Amino acid sequence: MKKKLTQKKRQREFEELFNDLKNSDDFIDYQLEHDSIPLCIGYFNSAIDNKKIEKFVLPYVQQSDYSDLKEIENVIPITNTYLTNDSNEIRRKLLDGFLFIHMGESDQQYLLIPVPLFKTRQITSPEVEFSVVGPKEAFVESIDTNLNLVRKRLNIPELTIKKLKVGTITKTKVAVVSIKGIADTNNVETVIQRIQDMEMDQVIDSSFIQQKIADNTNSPFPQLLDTERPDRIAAILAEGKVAIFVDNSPHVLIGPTTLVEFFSAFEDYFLNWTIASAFRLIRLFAVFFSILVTPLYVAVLTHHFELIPKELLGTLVSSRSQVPFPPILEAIILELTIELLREAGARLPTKVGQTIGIVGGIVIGTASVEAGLTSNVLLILVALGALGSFTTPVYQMGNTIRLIRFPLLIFAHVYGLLGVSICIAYIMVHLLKLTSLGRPFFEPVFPLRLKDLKDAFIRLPFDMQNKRPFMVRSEKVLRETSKNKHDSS
Amino acid sequence: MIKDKDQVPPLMAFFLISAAQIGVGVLSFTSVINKYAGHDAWMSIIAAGMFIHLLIWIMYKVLNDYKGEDFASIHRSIYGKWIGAFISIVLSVYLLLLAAVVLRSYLEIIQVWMFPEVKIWALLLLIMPLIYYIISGKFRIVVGVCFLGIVYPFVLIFALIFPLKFSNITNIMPIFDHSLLEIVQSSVLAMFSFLGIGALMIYYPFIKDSRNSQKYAHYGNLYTTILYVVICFVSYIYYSQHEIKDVIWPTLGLWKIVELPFLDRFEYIGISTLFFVILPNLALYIWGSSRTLNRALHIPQKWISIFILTAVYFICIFVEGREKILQVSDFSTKIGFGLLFYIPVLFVMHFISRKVKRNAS
Amino acid sequence: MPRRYIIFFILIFVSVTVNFTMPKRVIDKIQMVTVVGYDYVDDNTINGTVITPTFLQKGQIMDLVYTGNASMVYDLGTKLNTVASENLENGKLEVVVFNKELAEHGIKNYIDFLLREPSIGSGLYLAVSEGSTNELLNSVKSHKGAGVYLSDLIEHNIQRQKHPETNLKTFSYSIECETCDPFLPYFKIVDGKPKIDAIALFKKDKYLDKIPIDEAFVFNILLGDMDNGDFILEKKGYKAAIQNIDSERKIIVNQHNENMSLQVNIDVKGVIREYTGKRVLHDKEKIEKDLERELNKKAKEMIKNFQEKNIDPLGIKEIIRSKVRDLSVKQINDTYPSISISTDITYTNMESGTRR
Repeated sequence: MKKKLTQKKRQREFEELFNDLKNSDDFIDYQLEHDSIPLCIGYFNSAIDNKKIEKFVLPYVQQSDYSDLKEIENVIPITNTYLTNDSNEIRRKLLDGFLFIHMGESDQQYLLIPVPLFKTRQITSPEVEFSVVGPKEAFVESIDTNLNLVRKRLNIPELTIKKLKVGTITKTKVAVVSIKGIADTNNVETVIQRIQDMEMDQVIDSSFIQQKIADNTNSPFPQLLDTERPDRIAAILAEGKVAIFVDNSPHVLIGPTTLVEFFSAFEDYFLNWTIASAFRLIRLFAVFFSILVTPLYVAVLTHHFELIPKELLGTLVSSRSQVPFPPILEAIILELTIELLREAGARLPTKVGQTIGIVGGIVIGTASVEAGLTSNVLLILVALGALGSFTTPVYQMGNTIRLIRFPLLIFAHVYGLLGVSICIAYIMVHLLKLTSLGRPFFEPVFPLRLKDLKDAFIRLPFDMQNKRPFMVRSEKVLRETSKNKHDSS
Repeated sequence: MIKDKDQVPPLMAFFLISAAQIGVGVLSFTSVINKYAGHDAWMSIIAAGMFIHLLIWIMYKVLNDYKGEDFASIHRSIYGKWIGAFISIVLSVYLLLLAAVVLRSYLEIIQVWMFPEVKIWALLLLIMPLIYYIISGKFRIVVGVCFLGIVYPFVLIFALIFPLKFSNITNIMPIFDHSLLEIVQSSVLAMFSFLGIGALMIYYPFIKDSRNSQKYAHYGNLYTTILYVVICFVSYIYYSQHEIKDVIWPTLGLWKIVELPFLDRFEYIGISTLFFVILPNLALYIWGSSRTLNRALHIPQKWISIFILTAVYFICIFVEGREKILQVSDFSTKIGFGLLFYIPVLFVMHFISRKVKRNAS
Repeated sequence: MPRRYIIFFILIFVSVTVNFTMPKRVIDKIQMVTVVGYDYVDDNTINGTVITPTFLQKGQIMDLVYTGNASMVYDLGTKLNTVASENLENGKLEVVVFNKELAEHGIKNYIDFLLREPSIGSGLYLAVSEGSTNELLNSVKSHKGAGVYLSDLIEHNIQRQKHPETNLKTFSYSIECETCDPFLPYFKIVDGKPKIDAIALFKKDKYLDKIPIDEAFVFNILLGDMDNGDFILEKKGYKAAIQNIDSERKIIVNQHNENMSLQVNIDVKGVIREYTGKRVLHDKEKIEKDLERELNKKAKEMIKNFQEKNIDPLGIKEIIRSKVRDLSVKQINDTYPSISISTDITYTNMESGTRR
C-alpha cells in the first residue's frame, strides 16, 4: 500500500518534471520504437553533443533488445553513467549535458549518460600578456582546460584544488588553487571564506570575483593580479600564492599581490636579469612619466614659469601663442581625446580600431595643432604619456594610471606644484593603507623588506632569489633546490 | 597591550625619530643657530646632536622599565592619576601646537614663495583630510608616511652639490674662531631643530621588540645630525656670515642657483617636495597628541583627532604674518625645550618612585 | 565609511573651488622681463628700460621695450604695467644693467629688490654700461632677444674665463662681506654692438675703476684657480699667444711681529697657440722667462693699484681673515693698503699645438 503511494507520488513528480522541461523548446524527448519495451530518450539539445549520441549511444541502443537498463549501461562505451530515480538529480544532470534513457512506463529507473558539449576555444597564444620568448599558451574559458594547463606544469600531489560554486543563478564553478606546504593556509582560507561569503546572483567573469573580494572595493587600484598565462600561475603558485580560477573566464586571479607586481611582465623572467631589470626600470619610469607629465606641464605653465630654462621658454611660449585656452583646458581636451580614441579603438573590431587610432592620432592631432586649439608640445607630451600608460603589463593597472591623472591635473591647475605634491601624498597614503588579502599592498617599499626588493624594481638573478617572497608568509621560506635540501639535512 | 598586528619593526624607529625631527626648520635653522657661534655653528649642531643622543638613551632607560607602557600610563604610575593626566595634557597640547607651527610655517613659505594670494583657510581644507586619512588608520600608516618622508625627499640632498661651485671655503675659516661657550650657546639654539623626539614616549609600545629599537633610534638621530651638518656646512661656505643673517630661508637660497638644462630654479621643486617632509611631522604629532589624550582621558581617539585637527586648523588661520608666526613658534619651542629638559627629571623621578615603591612593599 | 569620504570630498571640493580664482601666471598671458637697464636721473629717480620678448611662431622673437622713470625698482615695474599689454613678471630676468653714473652713486638700493623677490634667481648677471643703458639694450639686434643675447654673451665669456665668475650671488656676497669688494662686467657699445670692454671695479657698491678686458688674464689668475684664459705676449723679436690650461693660486701669509707680508704664488700651465719666432722648442725657456717677468710686473702693478684705491676685488683680505686668528675686520681693513704683497708667478709650457 505504502509502496504504491510513493510510486504515485513519484509518478506525479516526473510528470511535473517533464512539463517543466518541456517549457523550454530545446528539450527533446522521443520514443524509440522497439519490439518489446519502448525506450524513451530525453535531453537538452543545447547542452549535449549530438555527435556523441549518434556515435556512442544510438547504435548500441538500437542494436538489440534489452530487458533492463542495466544491460544498456554495460553496453554503452561511456563512463560515468548511472541509474537514478531522483527527479531533482535528473533535472540537474540534464542541464549539465546528460541524456536519460527510460524504459517502459512502469519502471522508475532512469539511466543517465553524460554526453556534454564542450565547445571551447582552442588554446591560443596570449594576447594581453604576449611575450616573444617563453611559452605561448593562454588560458581559455573552460575551467577544466585551464586547470589542466596548470596541472601539466606542476605535476605534484601537493597541488590542491578546492572547488566552489558561486552565483545564485549562474552557479559558476570556481577553483581555489594552491600548493600545500608552500602556500600560507591563512591566505587560502581567507580566499575561500571570502568567495563563500560573496552574495551575488551572477558571476560571469573572474573580474566579478576580483571586485567582490578585494580588501578595499572602493579603490581604483586592483588588489588582485589577473593573468592569462598558465606559466605565470605555475610560477606564483610555487612562490606560495593563491590562484582563483573561474569557469568561463580566461583570466585567473592571483593573491596576495603587491603594487610592483603589476609593473612586472612575466617576460622579465625569460630574459637575462640585467636586461630584464633595465626593462622593468624603463617601465616604471614610463608609468611615473605617464602620471606626472601633463600635471607638471599644467603646473609649470600656469604657475611656475620661472622653472623653465631660457632656452626652452621660446619653444613653449610660441607653441602656445595661438592657443586660446589656459593649459588646464588644453590638457583636459587632449587627455579626453586620447581616452576617446582608446575607447573607440577598444569597442571596434581590431581592423577598424587600428584605423581609428591612426585617424585620431595623426589627423585629429595635427589638425587641432594647426587650428590652434592645442599646442604641439602638449600633444607630444600627452601622446607619450598615453604610450607610457600602455606599457604596464597588466591592463587594469593601465586604466588606473590613466584615471588618476585627472585629479592630478585639477590640483596642478589650482595649486601648481604644491597641488601635485599633495595629490601624490593622497595617492601614497591610499597605497599605504591598501592591503591585498590582508597583506600590505605597498610592500616591499613599505613595510621595507630588503629581501623582497630583489624582485621588485629590478629582478636579480635566480641564484640570489633562493627565498620565497616574505610577503606571502610561505610555510616554506626556502626555495627547495637540491643544494638547499642538502644544506638543511 | 598593543596587538602584534599594529606593531612595526624595530628598524622603523630610525624613520620615526628622524622624520619627527626634520621639518620646515631645515630651511631656516642655519641663519638662527649662528647667533653666537657664527661660522663655527656647525659644530654646535654636533654638540646638540650628542645631547639628543643622551636624551634618547635616557628615554629608553625609563621606557624599557615599563614594558609596553606609554607616556600616559608611566606618568600615572609615577605621579598618580591627576598630576599624571595633567602632564599628559601638557604634552598633548604641546604636540598640537608644534603641529600647528610646522604647518603654519610651511604655509608661510608657500605664501611668500609660491602663491601670495592663496586663501590659507581653503588650502588647509585640502591638507586636513589628508592628515585625518593618515591618522585614522593604524599606526603602521603613520610610520609609512614617516618612512616616505625620509626616503623620498632624500634626493633633494643632491641639489646641494650645485651651490658648491659658488662657495668659498674661506667663509668657515678659521675653524674654532669662537669660544666654547659661544658654541654651546649656539647648540642650545640648534636643539630646537631636534625637537619632536618626545613623541618616542608615545609610540614606544607600538614598536615590536622595542628594546632592540634603541640602536635604530640612535641611528635616526645620527642621520638627522649628519644631514643638518651637511646643510649647515654648505650654507656657511656659500653665504658669508654677514649675508646669511639677512636671509630667512637660507636653504632655499642655496637651491636658487641650481640650473639644469631642463630645469631652472630648483627651490620651487624643493618647496613642493618639502610637503613630504612636513607631512610626517604633522601626522606623527597629531597622532601622538590624540593618542596621549585618549590614554589620559579615555575619549575615543577618532573624536579627539577631529577636535585636534579643528584646533590646528583655527590656529593656522588666526596666526598670520611673520611676527605672529614667530611668536607662536617661539612659544611652542619653549614648551618643547621644557619637555626636553623634563626628560632627565623624569629619569630621576622614575628611580625615586621605584625606590619608594620597593620600600613600601 | 562612505560618510567620511563624502565629507572629504566636500572639503577638497571647497578648497579647490575657492582657490580656483587665485591669480595665475600662465606662461603666454604674461610678459617676461629678460633684461632691465637702470639709468641715473637724479639722486631720487632712476630711468628704467625694460625689455620683454614676445615669442612669435617659428622661433621668432620680437622685443618690446618699455621705459619709465621711478624712484624704486618695484615702483618702476608697477608704473610700466600701465603701458604693458600683459603683466610684467620678473621671474626670467637674465641681466640687469646699471649705467656708469648710477653705479658711481651706489647700486645697493637697487639690488635689494632682486634679492628680496623670491621669483628672481641667483644666477642673474649684473653689468655696468658706459653710456645709457637704454642705448645699450637697444643696440642688441638678434633673433634671441636682448636678454638672452646679453646673458649668453656674458656666460660664454665666463666659461672661456675671459671674465671672472660673476652673478647676483657673487655680487651680493662681495657687497655684504666686509673684507672684499665686488666687480662686474663693463659694457660699451662698439660699432653698434655691445662689448664687454672691461671689468668694472667697485668699492662696496660704488663704481670706482675698471680693468681693460685685455688685462683680465692677470686679474683672473690673481683671483683664483683657473683652467682657461688667453694671454698675448708681445716682445721685441717675437709674439706669442698663450692659452692657460691650469693655474693654481696660493697665498702665503707671513706674520712677523706686527709686520704682515703676503706672498702670492701662482703656477700657470699653458699651451702656446701662436708663435712668430723660430721654433717653440728652441725658445721655450726664453718665452717662459719673458712671460713670467711680464705677468709678475703686471700683477704687481695691479695689486698696487688696488691697494692705493683701497679696494680688494681679489679677496685678499678675506684670505687674511681666514688665516690669521685674533685680527679684527677693522684691523685688516686698516692695514690692507700698507701690506707688502709680493707675487711669484711661474709659467710652465706644456704643449705647443701640432708644431714644434
